[in-house]
Amino acid sequence: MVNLRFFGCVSGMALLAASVVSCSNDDPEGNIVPLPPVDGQGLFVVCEGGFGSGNASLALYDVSSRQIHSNVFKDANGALLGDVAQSMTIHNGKGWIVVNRSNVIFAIDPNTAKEVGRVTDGISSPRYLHFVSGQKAYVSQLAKNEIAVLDPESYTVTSSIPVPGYAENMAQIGDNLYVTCWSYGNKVVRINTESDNVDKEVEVGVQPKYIVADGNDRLWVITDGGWEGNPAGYEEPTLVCLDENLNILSKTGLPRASEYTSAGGLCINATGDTLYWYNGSDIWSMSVDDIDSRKVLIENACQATYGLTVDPVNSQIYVADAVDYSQQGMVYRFSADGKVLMDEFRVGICPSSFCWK
Amino acid sequence: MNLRPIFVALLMAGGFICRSQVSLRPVTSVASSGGSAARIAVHSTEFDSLALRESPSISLADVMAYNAGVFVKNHGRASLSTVTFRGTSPSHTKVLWNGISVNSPMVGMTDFSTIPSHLVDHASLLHGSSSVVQAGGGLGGVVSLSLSADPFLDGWRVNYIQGIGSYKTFDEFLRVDYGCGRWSSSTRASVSTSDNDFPYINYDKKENIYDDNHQIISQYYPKERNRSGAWRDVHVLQDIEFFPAASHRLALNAWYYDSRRELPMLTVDYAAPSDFENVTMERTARVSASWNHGSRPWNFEARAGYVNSFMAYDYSIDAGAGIMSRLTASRTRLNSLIGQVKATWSAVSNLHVELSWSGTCHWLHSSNINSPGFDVKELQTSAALAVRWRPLTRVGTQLIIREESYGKNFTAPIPALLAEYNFIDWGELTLKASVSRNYCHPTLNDLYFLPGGNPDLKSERGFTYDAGVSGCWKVEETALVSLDASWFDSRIDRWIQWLPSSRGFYSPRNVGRVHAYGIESRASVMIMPGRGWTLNLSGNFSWTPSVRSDRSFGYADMSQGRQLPYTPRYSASVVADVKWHQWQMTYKWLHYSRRFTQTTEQIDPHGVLKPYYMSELSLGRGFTFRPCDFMIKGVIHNLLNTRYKSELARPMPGINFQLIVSVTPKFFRCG
Repeated sequence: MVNLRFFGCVSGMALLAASVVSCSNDDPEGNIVPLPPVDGQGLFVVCEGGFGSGNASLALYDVSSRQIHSNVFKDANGALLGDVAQSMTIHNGKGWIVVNRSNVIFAIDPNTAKEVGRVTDGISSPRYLHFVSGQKAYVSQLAKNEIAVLDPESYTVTSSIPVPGYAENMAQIGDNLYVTCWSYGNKVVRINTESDNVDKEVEVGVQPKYIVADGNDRLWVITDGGWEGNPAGYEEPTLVCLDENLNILSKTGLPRASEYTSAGGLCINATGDTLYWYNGSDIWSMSVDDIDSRKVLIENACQATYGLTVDPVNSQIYVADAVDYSQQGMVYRFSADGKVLMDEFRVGICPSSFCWK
Repeated sequence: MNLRPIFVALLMAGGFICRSQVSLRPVTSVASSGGSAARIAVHSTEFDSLALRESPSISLADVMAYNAGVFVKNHGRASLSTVTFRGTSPSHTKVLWNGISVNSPMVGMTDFSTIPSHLVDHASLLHGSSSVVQAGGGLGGVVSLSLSADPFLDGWRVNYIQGIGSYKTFDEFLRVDYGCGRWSSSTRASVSTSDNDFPYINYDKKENIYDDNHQIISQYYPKERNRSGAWRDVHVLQDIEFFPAASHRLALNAWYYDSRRELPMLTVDYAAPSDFENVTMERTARVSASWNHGSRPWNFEARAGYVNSFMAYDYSIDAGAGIMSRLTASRTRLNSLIGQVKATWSAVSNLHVELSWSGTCHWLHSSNINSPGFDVKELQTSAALAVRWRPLTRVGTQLIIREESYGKNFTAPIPALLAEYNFIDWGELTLKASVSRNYCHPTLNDLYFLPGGNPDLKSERGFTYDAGVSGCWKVEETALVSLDASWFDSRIDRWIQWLPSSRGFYSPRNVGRVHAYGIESRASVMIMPGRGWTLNLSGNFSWTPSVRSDRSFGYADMSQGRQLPYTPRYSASVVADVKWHQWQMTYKWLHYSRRFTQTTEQIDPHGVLKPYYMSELSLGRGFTFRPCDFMIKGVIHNLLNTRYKSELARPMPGINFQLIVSVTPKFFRCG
């Protein structure tokens, strides 16, 4: 009996010791931090985060005060943004953030970053969102050969449009929407936004990814050229110009800056007359009226170029640097001519896309 | 005539196996003057056989976490479990099973969750430079696993263990041993299944409550279950040993592993579990046949092995109407042939020279649904010359020169020098030190994977030295105390890291230099006060700064001098056993300091995983009946229901329970 008591005593002491040196933290991690007001022009920076890590984030840059607010989604909502935030679009006073690997699209108030709604059903690996009207938006998806048609008022997917490949970026001219079919694809398709049908398609090169429409109602596409062993092919990346009827007007090679890189980040200024893209660490520009005008605007802009945008007001250039892809990325703000570094600020991991507020 | 005990005695005399273990928790073994020559100055942690056989549900990952002070990164049982040892990457810890590498030749690392501890008889961890004794490339160390039948078993011995745990977790384990005359055999089989759908409060997302106008009126953190986390693991192992003569030993080992594991959804995934299927499958068979012959002054060992492995990863989504559309169907088939020879010449009792060579030829075919895949054939070899010398009773040293090749590439020579000094008058107190240069060559995926493989990669290069002291003392025949502490310093450059690119896929590159250093310490006490009581207490503590020592990523790179991601600076563990007659209570405690998830020690919601303390308590009682021995044990995992994460966006189970029953029949006897 004495031994049993001793055994019980030892057990009790062990448990007591355990309770002293072990602690259970049940405090919710989601403290709400209101977003300071950004009255003037703002720039949302969408940071993918690490693949499979669930550490995507959203930052807001106050263009006039040069203040950066990181993690605004987490701060405003007390919840994480998700895994691989892909893109953001503002329409009718709502910001729509597409979170690829979380299979969700969040709608937020751009002034507070507070969630106002979300889309979770009917989408699979969503990538980009394009508004056709206040009642209809298209969602490209990486896991389905379909574009989801979204009713943004009810946050529901109402139908889908089959496309020949995994849809990626979208650009609109008039009633037509033009879509690149990127991963393992080689086509650009045209969708009639009235009938929600693909009415034309054209092969432009291996893995067309970026597409923009210029002020002359022409389309510009960058293909990444794929990779060795890719069933879709392997070739030099290209810059392709198309008209509204998907006739190829020109096709220009964009030699890889290194074996790890491909041209990307295609964007256009507000007046629709100058294209910008990155190739390796260089930022290129080109007048849409003269293919031969393409030039390196900023040489060696950063270490690991991951995103690019142009200020719609003054054409200043913002370049996202993923650094080592595992630490806070950096965004560099250059003057419109690319000659002056005006500011730099830290954001989240892998800053990949921008959205002007 | 039963030659097995004689052979074992000969081996011990010839210094080919380590000293018999006492029932202590891991004890740092340092060869004494009468010990194994191969273990002169070797810094190793021997895992106690009791720890290995504690439960059919524990894997080698659990054993290492609680008994070796290494960081095990996983997201629950039966999930990919990799170790960070001495601040290095998982691929820098080499694992040998009966001399055959268990590391995946594709990715370099070992998933320790796929190695049930019940299938291993001996396990040891060789630290830093000491790893060169057994293999090259172990910049962190080498885990050596082996089987050995009980040489004194005469007849049959059967043991059946069943475990029933929370979340519909079932473990079955059967072991049948036979020993008679010149033969011995051990057959083991285990089956583990679980729904693994533990509940947790998801603090990473919020659920919305809407009004009729679809306005959010409230939010809350949802209570969810771990989704898509079920698993089924089957292991069958056969070990046969035959002793044709006193100086000969033949062994045949075979291990078959079949698993199907779902990959749990992230906490931030909003898809329904029925919307997709995310699963890995593996079927691997390893066979090894070996021959040992000892006849002074020579000892010979030869081994042949074969590994056949099939690995699959499927990712499918619901394309509508319940029809699953397969987006990824990765298939990898690996065949490996292994040959090893080793000869040891003991000119005099204090000088041993060993020459060894091993070669492994891999045939790999990898494919995916959207890719033609790739085929690789690669021969990897390793040759070593070791000279072991004990010039004085108190002094021992060994010098090893190793050379490795992969494909048409050769690493630079891998030298290691180990030395020890024994204070014989002070019990087993020993000073030891070692230094080495080591190279870890790129894996098959590093070199050839499509897309992204980089054939221009160079071997990772490491330089390490360590120095320490260890000792073991008896206290009045009732207690045994052992202590070990060491300092290590490692520098690794040309570190291989897979990085994303603007081309849309990841690619490996030689980037950066890493400086890892710190202190490893262990202590254990065994007390036998009498009246049937036995108390075992052991503890580990490690301080492991592991920082980048350069700025490889340009102007904005802030990682220099910062701790590597998922590498805790501090880790500690304690295991306490109390036995009284047939009763046994075990308490296990584990601590990891905060782990950064970014390379810059960034402290933000995504940047830090909080430190945590984990506790486990078990209480068991044995019963002895005429036909069988019987044991029943209850285990409480995560005793204090700690909320913690081992990886970002991966939930971990709270308090959960397990009941274990063991039956050992007595009615088998050899004729």
